Amino acid sequence: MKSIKENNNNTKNKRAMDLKLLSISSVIILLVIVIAANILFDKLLGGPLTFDFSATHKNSISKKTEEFIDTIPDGTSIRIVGLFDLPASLEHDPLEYIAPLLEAYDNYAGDKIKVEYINPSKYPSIIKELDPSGSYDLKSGYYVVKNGEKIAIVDPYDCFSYDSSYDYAVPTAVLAEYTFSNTINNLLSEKVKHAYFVSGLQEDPGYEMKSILTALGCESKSINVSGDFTIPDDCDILFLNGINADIPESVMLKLDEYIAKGGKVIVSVNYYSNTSEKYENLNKSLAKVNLYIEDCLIEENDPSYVLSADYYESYVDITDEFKGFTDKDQLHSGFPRSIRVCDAPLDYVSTYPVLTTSDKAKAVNVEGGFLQYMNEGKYNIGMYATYDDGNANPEVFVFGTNNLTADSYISGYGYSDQNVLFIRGCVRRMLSIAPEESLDIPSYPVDSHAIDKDRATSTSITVTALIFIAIIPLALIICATVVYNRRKHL
Amino acid sequence: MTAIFKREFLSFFRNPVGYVVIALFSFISGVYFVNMLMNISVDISLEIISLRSFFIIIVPIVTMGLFSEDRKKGTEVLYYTNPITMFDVVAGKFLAAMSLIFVMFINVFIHMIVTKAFGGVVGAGDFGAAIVFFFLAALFVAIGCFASALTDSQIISALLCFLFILVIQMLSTFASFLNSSVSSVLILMNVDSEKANAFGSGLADVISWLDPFVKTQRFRFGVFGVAPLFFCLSMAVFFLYLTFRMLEKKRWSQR
Amino acid sequence: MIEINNLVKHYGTKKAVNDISFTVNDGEVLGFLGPNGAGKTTTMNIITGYLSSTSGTVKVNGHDILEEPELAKKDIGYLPEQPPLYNDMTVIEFLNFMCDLKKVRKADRKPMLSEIMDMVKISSVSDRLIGNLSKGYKQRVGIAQALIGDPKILILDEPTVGLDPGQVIEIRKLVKSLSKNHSIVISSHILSEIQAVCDRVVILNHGKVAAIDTIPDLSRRLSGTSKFLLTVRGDGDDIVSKIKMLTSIQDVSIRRSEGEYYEIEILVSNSAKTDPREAIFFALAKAGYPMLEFRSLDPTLEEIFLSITG
Repeated sequence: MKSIKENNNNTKNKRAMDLKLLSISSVIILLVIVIAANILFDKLLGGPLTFDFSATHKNSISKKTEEFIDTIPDGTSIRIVGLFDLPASLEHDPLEYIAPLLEAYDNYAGDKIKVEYINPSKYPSIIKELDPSGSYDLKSGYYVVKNGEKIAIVDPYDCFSYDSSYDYAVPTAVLAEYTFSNTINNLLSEKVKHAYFVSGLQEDPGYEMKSILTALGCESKSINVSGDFTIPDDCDILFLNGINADIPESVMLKLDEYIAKGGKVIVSVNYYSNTSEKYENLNKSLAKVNLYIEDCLIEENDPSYVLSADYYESYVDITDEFKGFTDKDQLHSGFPRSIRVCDAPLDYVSTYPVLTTSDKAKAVNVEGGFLQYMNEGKYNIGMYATYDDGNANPEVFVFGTNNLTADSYISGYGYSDQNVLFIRGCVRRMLSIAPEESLDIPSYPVDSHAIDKDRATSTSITVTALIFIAIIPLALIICATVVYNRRKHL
Repeated sequence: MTAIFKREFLSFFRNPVGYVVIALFSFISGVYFVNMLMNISVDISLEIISLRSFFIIIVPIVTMGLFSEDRKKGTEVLYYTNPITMFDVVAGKFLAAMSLIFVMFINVFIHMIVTKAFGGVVGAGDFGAAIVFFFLAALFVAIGCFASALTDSQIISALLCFLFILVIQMLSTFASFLNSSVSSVLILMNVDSEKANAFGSGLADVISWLDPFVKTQRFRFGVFGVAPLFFCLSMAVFFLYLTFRMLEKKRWSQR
Repeated sequence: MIEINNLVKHYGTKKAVNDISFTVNDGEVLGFLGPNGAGKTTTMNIITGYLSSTSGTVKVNGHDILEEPELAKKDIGYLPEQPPLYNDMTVIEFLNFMCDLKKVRKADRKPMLSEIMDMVKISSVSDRLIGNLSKGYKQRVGIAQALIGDPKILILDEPTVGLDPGQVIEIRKLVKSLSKNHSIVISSHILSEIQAVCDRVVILNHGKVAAIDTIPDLSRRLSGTSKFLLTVRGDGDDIVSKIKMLTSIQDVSIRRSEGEYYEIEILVSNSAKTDPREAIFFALAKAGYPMLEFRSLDPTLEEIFLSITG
């Protein structure tokens, strides 16, 4: 009986229940549709239906880059990882010129290029994932471009050129697309880099250095000075790593040839293991790039530089030109020789000090156990040389210490040591792709919102201010009162 | 629909409300504009973005009376008993409020012209910001309509609308707060820190996916996307539909 | 024509309208009578489409109010109990807005508005703000609003409530004149008002139809217990006994006395074929009791309900 009554009641309420059901279900269905449609829109059409109308097209990649991306073979997958959280708002952030552009890479390249942002302070494992060997000094704030095993680092601040005529750097042009396209191009280049170690000169075995080079995407081989010494054509970088004997004349000729063609050479020697060697042949070659290895030991006399009691283990300063390679300003040197500009330098060669001692260093010559004090002053422990003209572009680093490249040092201090970071920087600099292979992508000026100063006189601004801040609002308020009063009494 | 639109739009100008809101907007936008002029660098898109933060005040003022007043004064009977649909009513009132916002925005168009006259740049980014302004306004006005249909008190409806907009403006902040707090709680519970961070930021991503400000931020740089606009518009439609349902509910509700 | 079938409206567990069925014919004035809370307003709200019924149907000229609301609503002009007026508009602005709502063609507007304003006598206030008008004028603007679009059916919910007597008479006159061209449903809790203008009456009580009848039929049914009030000077008890002796008198009682003056209430049985009033007059005249007042008592609403429901 009771159930019949309830049933009756229910049928009577059917219309209201139906309407309620319709109402609630339609709202839910609409919500689901809206969310689903938005997700679809986001994922499928978000890319194609995005248009760059900005005057400088700063948010889209140029035709050149598109063509370049088209040449990237299918199946390639390049990761561009920003080692930071992309800020929700890009206003007043240099990333304004970079993040939307990278999105355009991602959109255009499909699976070939993937852009992501991962903050290493939250996901420390990303560093290991990107750089398993720890060859790079990955830090938050950088972009990392990774293709297979090879990686490259892009600092967002490198994406601009600056006007340094002010006290602070004023960005003037945006190079973001140039930087990224070329970085990707470099990573993709099929050409494997080759490093050759000259052997047979009582040199350091260079095991550690070779493994560092492998991590930098560079194969290492040895070439012996004996017999038929030739420097192969595919040699990208030549190491004379901790040699204790001078090079034979045949090698000297080949070396001259190699440097003249634009070769890259890293030479390291010291005074510790062979005090008598004068490297006459090597110095003849180095004279082609205005460098000279002195036959003396540098003694550091500034207590703040000295590392141990014997004055020969000391700090050396990195010169300004090369400071970007590491965080620190100083490296370790041990039993260094001094490197100087040779006598009668060639005028088309530029040399730069790389590592320098304090002002109080002294050069010491050991001849038959006799110490002869030479003049006190600042000595170069490392120097860099290159040609001024752009054609052949040889680069030569000469270090008067083995602490940068020798196994004994590296195995003792590890791959994170400043010296290792520094030598990596030198190698990276030398291994960068030659200019003719880079993509020619123009930069464009940073957005300017400046108005014409001649027209923006104080009078015109005052008048404008008066109109917009006072007259228009006041006129509207007067309108309001007039309308209110008139209508009130209707 | 035109009938409702006409009445609602004109009623803003029959009362002082419309003039006062426009005066307020003119003043605020004028201050921003003149300030930029004095710095000899005028970025209209920045002005528009700054003006967006006043939605939280302007939208509630504009929408608070749209439906609640009718309910209170009994004039809603007219909408139910005349040969028009509730859709017409909702659409008409929504468009009236949007038109008022458009009228306010004329200020910014004038600023653009003045900028040009001063030899400044008015580019795609500025128009992008303007487009975003209107789509965001549409979303917020739709929310205001819904808030107004919930109650017969103008004050409560304005407060509700204010809260809604506040929540939306805070979404990103809320998301990052949630991100860090959830991950730290999970880490305290001995969850692997990377997993905890992944969970936290996943949660934050879901929430910030809903943030219309983040979605539309590229417009200011000249990147026009259809998807973000579709998001604002579809959400506005959703809230208008909710409004419509609230009004329809009045008919069949048995309370 | 409005056909109402088995209309039910629940509010929570309460049934505001419980199974009402009746028909409003073309050209007729139908009165809706009932005490407050009887379901008059709810029924009207359902007919006009303001509310949806829990069950049952309303058809306006063949169009179901739920299924073809626009067509149905086109034929209805509604004046709710609280006239739906925008206080911030002038009369003419408001009526123009109503023309928009009812989709009156632009060309027809001016003549229609001036005709309506003349009819309800609001031409003189057409440019005044509605919020500044008196209650009577507001009611008239409410009626004018209902008349726009020339609907065939007018539904007026308590159109005279809260008005002063002069205004009540004006409104009644207006309704009478409107009844020539419209079907009208008018609700009231005042019987005399309904009697004055209606052809037929629906009496509602507790959400149910207590009676549907034409005015003459209703009064006939009511006159089954018709009542007279008499003021006579003389001896009360004697007067009562004298009247009681007459035929077809059911009951006689003294309602009030003041010295020699007696107010006497007479209940007359309906079976009487002749009017008992003559006999009463002559009987009292013969007895020498001067009659100072003799009138029939209108039945009160309560009495109607008592008689119909009790």
